[in-house]
Amino acid sequence: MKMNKYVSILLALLLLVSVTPLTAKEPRAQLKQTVDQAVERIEQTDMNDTGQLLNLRQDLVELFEPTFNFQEMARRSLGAPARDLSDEELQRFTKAYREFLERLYVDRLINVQTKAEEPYQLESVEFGDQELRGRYARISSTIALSQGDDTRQYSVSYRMVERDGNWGIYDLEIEDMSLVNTYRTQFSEYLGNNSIDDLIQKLNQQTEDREFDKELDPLQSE
Amino acid sequence: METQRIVNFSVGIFMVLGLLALGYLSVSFGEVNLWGDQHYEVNAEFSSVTGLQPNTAVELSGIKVGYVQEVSLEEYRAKVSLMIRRDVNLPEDTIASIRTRGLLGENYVSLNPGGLDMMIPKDGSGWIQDTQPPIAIDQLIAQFVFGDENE
Repeated sequence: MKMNKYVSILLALLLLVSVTPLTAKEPRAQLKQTVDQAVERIEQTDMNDTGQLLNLRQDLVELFEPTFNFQEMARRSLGAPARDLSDEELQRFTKAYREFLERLYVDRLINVQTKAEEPYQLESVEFGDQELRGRYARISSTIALSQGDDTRQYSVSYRMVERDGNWGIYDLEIEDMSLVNTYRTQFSEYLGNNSIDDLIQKLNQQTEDREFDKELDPLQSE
Repeated sequence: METQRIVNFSVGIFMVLGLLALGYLSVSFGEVNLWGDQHYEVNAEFSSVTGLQPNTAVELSGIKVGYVQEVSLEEYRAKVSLMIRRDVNLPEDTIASIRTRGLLGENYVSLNPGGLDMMIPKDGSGWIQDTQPPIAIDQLIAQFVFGDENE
């Protein structure tokens, strides 16, 4: 369970990125800059203040949206079944998947941080080299997280693709585990017996059921 | 005299058929393609390819669609050249994973085609961008026996 919490925090931190779309030819420099901005934003937040947490959630969602290529991520996560979908179905799925990821990881970060006896601290983020191959880039990094005296390091790779002159993240690999590959396996199993509408409904349902909303969101508790 | 000629002729025919059969078996078992290679080359890079050898099968949905041509080291990462059947089109977001048949069986490369419309080129310059290394069974067993230090 403890491991899961670390991974959630990591994923949330990775999803926090910049206001600036990655338009430069140097995706590594842009990515580093935006990660630094996101970390700074988290460090400014008092995790015991509900109002600040709600603002943080909103800010984080707005921050990372331009940096991720959610359309690419959704299509890749669906895998082969995406080829049979209409544009309208793909758009609905992309929206549901994006909201699901945002809520899942941002809210989980907040939940874990607010409930932990000792909050997690981000010790360092070190970026390695970038590997460019055509329209694709892999940027590796090492993230150190600590809780009390316990510090752990994780290797994280950002997979980016350049479309229409903009670099966007389409996958994250933590300790060689790919987010897209993991969801592709789950989605293809689910779509074996269910329709795309069922999957969209399930994602929407899980997005609405997020724990953070029920406990801390004033609009939800009214 | 006539009978002797028939026997000689029969032995000759038998020898020719035997040699043809031997030739066919050699070509067949050696997987030599006499009519040009009906495969195209695609490269993939893995963080580890433990146990992967040339001629290992490449499968898609459990069906063999190619084989591993070469495994080499490039910038401390493993580069694998795959030969894929020409009639198989691979989307750009295909994921290649190294799997093991059964618990202790042989390795093979499994391809999971994606949902993009763009295809990997068949001119030998194509790359599979997303790969998954093999699961380290020995590490899993060690974790099971000695416990996971993270737990």
